[in-house]
Amino acid sequence: MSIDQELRLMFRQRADEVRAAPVVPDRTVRRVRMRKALWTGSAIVFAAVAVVGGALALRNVVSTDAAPVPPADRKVRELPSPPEHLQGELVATGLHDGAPWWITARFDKAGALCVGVTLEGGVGGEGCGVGSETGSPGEPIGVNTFSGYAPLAPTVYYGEVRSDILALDFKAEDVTDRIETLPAPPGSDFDLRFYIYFGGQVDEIVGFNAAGETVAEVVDHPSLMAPGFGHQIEEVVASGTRAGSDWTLTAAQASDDLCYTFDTEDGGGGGCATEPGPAWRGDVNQSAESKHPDVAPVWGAIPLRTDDVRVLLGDGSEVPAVIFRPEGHNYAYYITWIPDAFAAGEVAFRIGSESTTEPLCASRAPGGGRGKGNRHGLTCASSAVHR
Amino acid sequence: MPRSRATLGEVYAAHADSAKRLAYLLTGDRELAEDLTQDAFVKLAGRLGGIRDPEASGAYLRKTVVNLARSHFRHRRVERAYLDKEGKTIAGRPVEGPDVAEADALWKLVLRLPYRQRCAVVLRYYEDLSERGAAEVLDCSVGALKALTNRAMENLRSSVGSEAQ
Repeated sequence: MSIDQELRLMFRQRADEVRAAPVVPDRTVRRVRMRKALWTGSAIVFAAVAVVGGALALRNVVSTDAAPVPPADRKVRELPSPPEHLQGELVATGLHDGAPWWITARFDKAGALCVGVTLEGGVGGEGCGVGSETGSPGEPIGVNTFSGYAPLAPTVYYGEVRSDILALDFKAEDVTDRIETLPAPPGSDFDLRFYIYFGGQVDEIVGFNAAGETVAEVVDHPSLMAPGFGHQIEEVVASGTRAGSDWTLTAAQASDDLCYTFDTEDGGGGGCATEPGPAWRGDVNQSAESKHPDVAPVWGAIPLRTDDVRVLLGDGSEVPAVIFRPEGHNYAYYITWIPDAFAAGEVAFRIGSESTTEPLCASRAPGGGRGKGNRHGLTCASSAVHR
Repeated sequence: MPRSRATLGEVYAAHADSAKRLAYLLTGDRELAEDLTQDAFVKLAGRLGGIRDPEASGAYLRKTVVNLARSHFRHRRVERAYLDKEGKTIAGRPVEGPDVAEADALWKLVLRLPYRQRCAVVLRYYEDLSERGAAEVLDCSVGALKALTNRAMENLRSSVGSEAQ
């Protein structure tokens, strides 16, 4: 019997085991009634808000005290100079909700195309594509994500697209957002276009050419899945309590794709990426909750062969990390806590005698991470690459 | 009101079983399937006035069940972290519903598929939807549906092969 036939038979047998209640259950009827009542109530509230809002708007219009809003208060800003530490060629830049972003591109030592995004304060990420080596066509849409930078959006999607893809649709459950892709500047080394999208969970990305025809699709790329979603063999790598707050480090082992997340009651972050390149030495993630900046987690994924991870703080002190090597995973994970969420310093990854460092990202956030913009906490991430 | 109650009852009688079976095949959990089915009917009740074709109710329910199941899996990560806090370790254990028989290897493999791949095979091989029909339910193109189905079948074949060894 073919697997198709086996599937059909198995589905029938399983389905036959299940029957719904013969009549609409009372609790469902009650919920339907409640929903109708809520709809009615909502309509009344909406009408009331509309009346009050209209009255306020009218008051503003007729007020003679109203002065023109100065440009500085309209949150319109000049695009600032790019940060000094950008790696590769600056291929696109712009503003999102008044905050600047920069997209860079470069080829790493292995020849893989790396596209990075940097946000205000130097926070950002970079993804190096397997299959996009120099001279090969690569994927038509390269997808990278950067999660947890709460001031802007739950997730930043960025990457490169083939030069004929002029627009992208980001499709979520109920919403589709269309963005235009951005050409590389004249004289660029890259015959590609680039994109950045600030949004939430996305299920599918569709690429369109100049004629509006669909020319590329990304449907179940790991970057499009919430951590753990679609990766059925997801494990809690480690969990515990720190300073009265429960935390959990979770990771998916299903494939070479890298998916992990860190949860605490105060925040956390996570994401998925395609298989990191050979020069990758580890990720640096930080979550800085403003209520507990003195107990700040630093965590990430590392290659299995990593011997030691520690945070080297600017005051000369060192904070060793605990490394977890869950069975069956292609990656190991580390976690530690530092006494100052916004401290300057770096994370050192050691493999044998080779050591690679990556700066702590929170200290590079706007205003050293302590500014007003971070009163809701901050999550940032970056990757260490051996050069 | 009596008219809409009767209509809801009619639609329920016609489609509740199929909605719950679909939910069960997507989740592998009878209780969850029942909850999702009832949630789907609550959503449907708000739309009954706008659905004239009885067949359209079935299609609407099918899509709603698929979307509700997807939402459930998105939120599952938080629930699983909670389970871990409660001391019920889940490390190393594949995600599966409480009603999954140990003996049914293929069923277990289907439940291990990424959600959209699982949807694709359930819609194609259980619901017998055309590629276009399944793509409409998943809100994707026919090409994307084909890709999902192919990947699902490749995963199942390779898993069946490796388990046989």
